[in-house]
Amino acid sequence: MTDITSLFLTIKIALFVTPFLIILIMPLSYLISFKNFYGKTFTQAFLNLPLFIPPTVLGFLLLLAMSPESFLGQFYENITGKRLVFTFQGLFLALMVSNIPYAFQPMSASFEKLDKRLVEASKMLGFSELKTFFMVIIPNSIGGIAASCALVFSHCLGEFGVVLMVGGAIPGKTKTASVSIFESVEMLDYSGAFKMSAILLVTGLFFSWLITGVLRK
Amino acid sequence: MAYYRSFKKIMLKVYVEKIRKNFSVNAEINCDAKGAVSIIGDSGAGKTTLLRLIAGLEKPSTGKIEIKDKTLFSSKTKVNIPPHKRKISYVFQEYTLFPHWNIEKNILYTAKDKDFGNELIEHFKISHLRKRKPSKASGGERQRAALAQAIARQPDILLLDEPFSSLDPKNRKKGCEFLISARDKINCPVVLVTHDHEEASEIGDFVYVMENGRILKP
Repeated sequence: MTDITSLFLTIKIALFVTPFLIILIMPLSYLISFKNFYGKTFTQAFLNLPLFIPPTVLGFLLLLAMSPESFLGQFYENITGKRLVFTFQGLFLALMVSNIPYAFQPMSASFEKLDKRLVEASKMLGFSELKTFFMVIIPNSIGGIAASCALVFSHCLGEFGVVLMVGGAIPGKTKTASVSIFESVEMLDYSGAFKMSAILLVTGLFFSWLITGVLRK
Repeated sequence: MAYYRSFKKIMLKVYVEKIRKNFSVNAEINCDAKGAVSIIGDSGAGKTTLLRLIAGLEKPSTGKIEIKDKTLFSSKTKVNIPPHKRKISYVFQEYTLFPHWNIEKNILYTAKDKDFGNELIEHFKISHLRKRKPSKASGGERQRAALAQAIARQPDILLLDEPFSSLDPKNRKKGCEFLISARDKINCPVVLVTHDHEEASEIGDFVYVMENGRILKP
């Protein structure tokens, strides 16, 4: 049987993570693409780190970082009175971290590809740095930003290791589509696993087509 | 220096020095209120660097830049007004109109007076391109639009960095003629950098020669 609840939860978390992460990564990508500062290479390497470590390792580290004994876990508990691990909020935070490179890479590549003379021309027209960012850099980097959005969204749909570690696969709370597929296969429910896989496959194909189309333009 | 005596009222005073690893720029130029000076020199003489120093796109090592008694840069008093606050218009070698805006928006968005902007669109004969994106215009048309954009802002200084060098001879001549005929509409000092002697003497009231980063003679 298809686990619709986990599918909706997956889409819900992807819809939350994508805009928040894009907005958070945008100024960082700008700083790295247009400014020189001490520790720039290290910052870049740090942002790309989730690409270079296994999702289970990242998930385990995030689990430790969010545990009730950790600073973050205690801080969250003091404010909300609830635990951070095995909750939607914890899952949201974990997916924000694991998706950083998928948001950062296409966006910073498109910022770096931008003709720097346009930025200089903008200064010469009296535009402040902030105005240049919103009126010149963003409109001319739409392809890269759209690619970041599509990659983050589709990666949120398919993330498994981190989700399992931090979420704990609680039905209706933290069990996402990919975890549901894994459980279906474990229970030899191939039909349910197939249906869910087909939905994710079509969604993935749609986003792949979207990215290809946007990048071609 | 003797050749400054003929200036009626000096509005732009530039003395800058920029020291790099293998190259330094050291220049002193003056220009009156509605005057135009041309700077000629071979490639690599430091002409573009000089304009970039005036514009604030690069920071001089030492020197002073003054316009209308306002100090834009002074190494002594540590004044360095950021480029977007200098009220300088800069026309680059190759067009730098915003590709996502149509030509009309490119010109009128920063125009001090929209009517004046529209007058310039008519003057530069680009009114048929108003709704077109820059990519749909020819090189000559784009450069005319860039000139109209720069003048429409009514800046304190207009810097022209080989504005016609990327055009073919016919369009270069045409662009030059448009600029000369628009002189009465430009109410500020103009500094033109070029390697074309004819263009330099046609546009500039004074011609400076630049070699190895230094101004030699008018």
